[in-house]
Amino acid sequence: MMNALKANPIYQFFTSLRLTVTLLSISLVIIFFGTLAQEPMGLNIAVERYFKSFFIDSHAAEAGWFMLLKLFQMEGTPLTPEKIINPGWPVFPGGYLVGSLLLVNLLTAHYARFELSAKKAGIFLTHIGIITLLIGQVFTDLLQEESFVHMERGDRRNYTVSFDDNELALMLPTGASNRVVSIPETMLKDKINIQHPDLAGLTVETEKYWRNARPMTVSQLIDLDRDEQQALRQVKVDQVFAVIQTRITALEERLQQSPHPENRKALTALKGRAFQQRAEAVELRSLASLLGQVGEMEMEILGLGESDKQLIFNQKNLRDMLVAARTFDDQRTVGDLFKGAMKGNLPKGTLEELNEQADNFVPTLRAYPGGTGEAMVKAAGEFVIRIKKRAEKFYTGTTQGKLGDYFRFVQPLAPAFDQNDRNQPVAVLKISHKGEALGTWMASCTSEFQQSISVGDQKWKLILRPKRHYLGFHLTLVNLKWEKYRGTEIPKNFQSRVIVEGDSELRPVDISMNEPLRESGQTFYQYQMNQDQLGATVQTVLQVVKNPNWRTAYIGCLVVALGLIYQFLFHLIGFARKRKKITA
Amino acid sequence: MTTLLRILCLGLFAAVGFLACEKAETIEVRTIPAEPSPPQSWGLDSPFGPEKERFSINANGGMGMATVSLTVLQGDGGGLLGNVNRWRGQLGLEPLNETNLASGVQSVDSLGSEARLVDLNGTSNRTQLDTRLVGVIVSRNELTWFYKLMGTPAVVAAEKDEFLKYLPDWR
Repeated sequence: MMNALKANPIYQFFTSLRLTVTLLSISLVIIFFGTLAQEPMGLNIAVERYFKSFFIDSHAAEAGWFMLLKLFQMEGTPLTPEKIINPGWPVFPGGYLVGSLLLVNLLTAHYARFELSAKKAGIFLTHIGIITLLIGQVFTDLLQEESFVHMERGDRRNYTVSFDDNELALMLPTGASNRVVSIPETMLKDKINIQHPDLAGLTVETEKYWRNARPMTVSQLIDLDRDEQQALRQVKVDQVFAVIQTRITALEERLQQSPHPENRKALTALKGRAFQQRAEAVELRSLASLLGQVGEMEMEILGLGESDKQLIFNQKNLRDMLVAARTFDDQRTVGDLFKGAMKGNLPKGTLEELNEQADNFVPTLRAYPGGTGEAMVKAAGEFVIRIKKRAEKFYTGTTQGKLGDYFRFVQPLAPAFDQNDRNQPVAVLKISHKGEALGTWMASCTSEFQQSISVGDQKWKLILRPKRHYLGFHLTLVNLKWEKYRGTEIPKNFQSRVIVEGDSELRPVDISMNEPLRESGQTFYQYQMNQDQLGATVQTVLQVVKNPNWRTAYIGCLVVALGLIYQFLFHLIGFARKRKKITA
Repeated sequence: MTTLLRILCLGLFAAVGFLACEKAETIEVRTIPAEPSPPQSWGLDSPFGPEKERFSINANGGMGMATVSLTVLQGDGGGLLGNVNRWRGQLGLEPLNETNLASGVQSVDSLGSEARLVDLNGTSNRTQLDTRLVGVIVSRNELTWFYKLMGTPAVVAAEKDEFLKYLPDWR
């Protein structure tokens, strides 16, 4: 029977040491590339796609490969945000698959070679410890919650905030308490029709959702256009400066060949002016003047004539750059004029009102006392087309709520992947009560304002915010300390003094870098300190870890250590006895 | 035995796989203590200097205006006498000394035995207008809370009760 089992290829595969070595080698590869991929993908996404998945997808693998190329200073294609968000095809075993196979391998190998004897008890214990660690890690992944709490002196908190997750909270005041229905952001993202017995007949439907976005007023919409025109203008101005720099370098080379102290002095002064202007928000008039001076130096040093095609201001492409910069300048001016003309109608303009204002803008501009130049009228026409198009694209069309009333538009932003950045989702929600439409609301993580939804006598509050985890006790920040090593900016100690306020107790606790607070199954670690503009330490951030499974890792390590010690001592004693016998 | 082993392996593999599958996020319902909200007549304002929170009150009918602020300082925040005299100075009043301090302050039952209240009338150094200041100083848990309602006397008189009612929740 046993022989038949041993001959079974599946049995042989799972019990082989070769499989163990292969899996451990694969683990090394996963850890290496998973660590590299954290830079482009961000910590959480990389951990999810490398370690907490059965297979590594092609996009995640691409991120790791790109970083490897970068490590060796070779060129690669960086990952697009779409690829970072959306997994590709599975291409390599992931952390969970390798972990599961290792577990099976360990168990079957143990079964195949297990022998209950004092001689092998250490190995047995070690294996038990490793199995505990492997299974414990799965439970930790499932049960552990990480969040943070940030406080200024005097702040009192009874909740922590999730690092990544957001919630749509619908709150109904019921006397001395609030009933909070917390809807995960993923349900908004998936546009699920949300109904729940505790919502008392309310239905929430997501009309629009942005993972990371900025709500905008009409005024901010116009500013956005203005900023874009400014950026386009800057590109042209930079191009002109690049040409000026090339010409000055050529003149310097000529002066090296044929020294001329006076010209050298004048050229140095000109170079200084060029650097100064580049550092400032340069006016086109000053830029043209600078070009004129460069031209004069070229005539002086290179002996060029005024009509010479080589002369800097006779270059057609340079003139084109200046004309383009001037056009973008005009567009900025027109944007400001439009804001002026809209005054009184901002910021509460609806799309229809904005379009009406935009349509009236060119005739208004023409009717300005003293008249308006044709170039400006043309620029205004272009601006109107552009702003109407953008307004239509970014318009939310909400009908209820103060947030949507104030911010009529939403600008989608690229998703944030960096660990220190946070996505700020925005959603347009269609809310109805027992089939009767109540209107559309905007909800945004950028605002802490709680909007109202009135249903009969009930007044619900609505807010999209970072997900809260309530503590069951209060924490008050009393003092914070940021010590640095003398004469350096290197932190020596971060320390927060908090008051823990439970139902029956009140005690001060100092939380520092290696001395966390453990309370009600949660651990509060000193995480960050923030300073204000004057350099005073004003804010502390504590990382909060809730891991009901935290003992498993300690137990696993202890069992492994015991097993190894036993095995070592067993052999040592055996060896010593043997030696004693031989000596005797 | 082979069958048993296979079942064991498959069972373990499936169990770990099942456990490792992503936890689906669901709607959660919680009951939390009601969050205190300031009186409706108070409008949120930008905190000034070390203030933690500030509200402004614009009374109807041109009665005037007032501001309400909360500042939290570590320790005793400069002491009761120093802070009472600072407020008195803002209204052009003579400073008190240790002996007559007790006659210038009142207790606030709703805030505990450590809370002290001053109610001052004078002329504001800044605006040169008649001004009333109701200030409460509470030392609690190694910190001192300073609550201040200051503005036109009529507005302060109208808001004083609401102000004192809100203080126990305002932390």
